Amino acid sequence: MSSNDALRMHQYFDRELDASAAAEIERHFESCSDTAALLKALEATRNALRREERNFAGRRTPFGSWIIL
Amino acid sequence: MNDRRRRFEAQVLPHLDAAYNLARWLARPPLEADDIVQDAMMRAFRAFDSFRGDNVKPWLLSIVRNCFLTAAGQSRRGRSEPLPSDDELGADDSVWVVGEPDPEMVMIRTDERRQLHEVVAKLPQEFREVLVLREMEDLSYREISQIAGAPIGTVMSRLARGRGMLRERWQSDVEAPRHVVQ
Repeated sequence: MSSNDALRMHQYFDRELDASAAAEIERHFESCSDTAALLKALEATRNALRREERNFAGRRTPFGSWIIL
Repeated sequence: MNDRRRRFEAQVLPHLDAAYNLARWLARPPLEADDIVQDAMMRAFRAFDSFRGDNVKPWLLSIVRNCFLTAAGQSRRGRSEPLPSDDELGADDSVWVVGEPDPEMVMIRTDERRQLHEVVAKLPQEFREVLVLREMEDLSYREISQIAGAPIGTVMSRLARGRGMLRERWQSDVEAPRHVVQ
């Protein structure tokens, strides 16, 4: 996968492509195992980071206690 | 409570968690995320009258980032690591999944969540911040560009490279030692 193709995949994953470009990517990854694997890996990374963030969120200082105006 | 403060609290405080999340990922000892957020909220309140637009989140997060950079400069300990070259990063996106049929299941374990935190914390600031803003805060490339003060193309590149670095370091720091033990 070229660098440009990889960047395009990231754009697709991040919902930064228009509908026609996204559809083109989707047609491609139906027949490309590398692309499908990359998307799965990106999703796994995102899920892991969001899980970590949610785990931390429960330990934050209560809302509204930060500022004294 | 006056009208200005009421508007500030209605528009800005809902993004306090996002502000703290960004600060905690940017700050390293001796800097404290609490101090950065406190400073940012005070600055945001003072500058609130100059805010124009309808999307306050990127505006607030750009203030958080600026507060971090100011504090880091003052402490002389917050210098970011030099950006690695493409060669150093190894741009092969497949590395995350080779030999790993279900990486999500691997990463949900509690111990690995801690390890993930450590791996992310070691990334250079330029990559850490775009990962946090995109993956955790769900901001668009344009919004991240506004916060980071970088062109959208740079944001895209840093995001892709940051994800690649995260995968590589995960494999070298976490996966590889586990295989040695097994």
